[in-house]
Amino acid sequence: MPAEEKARATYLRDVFSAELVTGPFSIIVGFDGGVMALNDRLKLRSLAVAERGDKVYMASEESAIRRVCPVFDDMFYAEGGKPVVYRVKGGKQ
Amino acid sequence: MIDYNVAPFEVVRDYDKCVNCRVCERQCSNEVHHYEEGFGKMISDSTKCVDCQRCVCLCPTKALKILPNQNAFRPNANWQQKYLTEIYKQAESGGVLLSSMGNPEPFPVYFDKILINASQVTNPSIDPLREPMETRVFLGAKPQTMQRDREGKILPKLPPRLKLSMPVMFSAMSYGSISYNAHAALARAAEKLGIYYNTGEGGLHKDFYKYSANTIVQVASGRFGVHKDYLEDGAAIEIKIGQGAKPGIGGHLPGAKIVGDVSKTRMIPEGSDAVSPAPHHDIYSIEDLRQLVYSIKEATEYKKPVIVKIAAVHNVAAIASGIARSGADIIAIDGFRGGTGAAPTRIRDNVGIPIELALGSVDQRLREENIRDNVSLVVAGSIRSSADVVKAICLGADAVYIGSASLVAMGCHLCRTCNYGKCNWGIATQRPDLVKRLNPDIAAERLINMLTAWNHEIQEMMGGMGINSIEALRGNRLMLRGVGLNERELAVLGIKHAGEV
Repeated sequence: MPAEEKARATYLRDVFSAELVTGPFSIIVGFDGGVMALNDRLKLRSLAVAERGDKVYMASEESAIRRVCPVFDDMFYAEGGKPVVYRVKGGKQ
Repeated sequence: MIDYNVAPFEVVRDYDKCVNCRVCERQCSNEVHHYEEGFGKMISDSTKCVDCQRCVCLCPTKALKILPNQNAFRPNANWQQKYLTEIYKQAESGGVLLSSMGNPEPFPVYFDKILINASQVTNPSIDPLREPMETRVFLGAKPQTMQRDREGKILPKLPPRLKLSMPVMFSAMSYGSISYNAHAALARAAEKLGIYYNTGEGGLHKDFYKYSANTIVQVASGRFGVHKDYLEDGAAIEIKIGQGAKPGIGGHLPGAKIVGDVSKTRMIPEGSDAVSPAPHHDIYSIEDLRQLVYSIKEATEYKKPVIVKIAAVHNVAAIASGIARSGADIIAIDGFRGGTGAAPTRIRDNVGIPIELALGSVDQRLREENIRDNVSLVVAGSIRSSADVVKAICLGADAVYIGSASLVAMGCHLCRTCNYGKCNWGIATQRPDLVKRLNPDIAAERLINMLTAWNHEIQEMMGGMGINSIEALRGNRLMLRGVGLNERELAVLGIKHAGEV
């Protein structure tokens, strides 16, 4: 990690240490204008994201997505600790 | 003159095993054992024995054992034998009783009544052998505002802090109360482990300046050894207001231990008793404390965090709240079980409150007043194992100090006679023939071994709780349950009873 990024990452980790969420989790958070899926840093739970056309599906299991949408264009699993963000078409930026 | 003194211990020798090697005679600084030519065997004078276990450990045939003296006064639940023998001593000498190490009386030990959680099924535990477990801790004030540069990027400006590889540091033990070799071992172990050790109020010996990156220098009420280089040579500066073993009074080092380098390091004449005054004579209010904190920060160009150490007393939450507003970066709280080189017996045994309750109360109060992030909390008195460390962190501490535990790792057997200066283990003495028995390299290795083991145990317990970073453990009272505690105790600790969901 470049030194500047490292200093910033250390700063955030230190200042907001009380807000750190640990342990296994996969969550979906809605916000004004979009939705975010997030897995814990260690990828201890599953979180699947599928796209079909202009729709996106998120669930903890691929089978849950297939129940609703049997065929899709693309599917991937969220990386540990990396948020997956989708914005609503025409929504608040 | 009638001798009312009762020997507390009895030396028992198995003569079938004893080979008259006389190691016990050479090793005992209290001159308990000697070889009697006339009888052709070893004789022991039990009246001088302090049960330090040195002869027991070193006897090659394990022929020795130390038992409590079976000679007993008539049993009395109120007038226990010790009260009688203490009165005999005072009637004879007219003196204040002095004791060493921590309060041995049977007050409740709250750590032993608290249990830790583990995760199963719904929130699974984490395997510390597979996943990274973070036990690294930063101690210091958190910044109150965030600053950004012209492009909106965060400016990572942090107030000065201490970085610890694990949430444990070596507590303050002065050079004078413990030996040069003991200090050398603590300094080396702190450096190797990536933590800190504390000079205590005896100043810093020149030979240890090279460990300054891992040293916390203490400014106590006697201001022993405090000069400009001293402040510069610490990673942090600790203002000692009080100590758990003797709240309200200052340190005491008998003149017999003020010799040679000890006197030079403290900057006082040889043979003079080093008695620190009770208060700092320039701190009579919280504003005075703030003034001293900032004087020290000015003198060290705001580059080092300032710690304020207090004893756990009845008002500790209010006192801590004041200190959190005074500009200090870290508050160290020492509970009533804390150790000491020498303290008046009555104060050690009757003054102060348990660290578990003090911690629960302080953490709660600082959170209620929204100033918990102004300071980090370090607790001591007495942390005996990694389980105590985990419980202390769950109750709200950022890190712990270990004093007695470090000495035990180096060989101490808690015989509690440090004040005589004849420690057979070479730890609490200044006699060169005794000090050389403590090999600093071996002692440092023992300290490193102990804390490495504790770190693994902490990681195991954390993993068991489904937590992989120590920050998520701090103040996490839901991970604790009390057992055998009443409503008030549970309320002060802020935890539920075992069995409650």
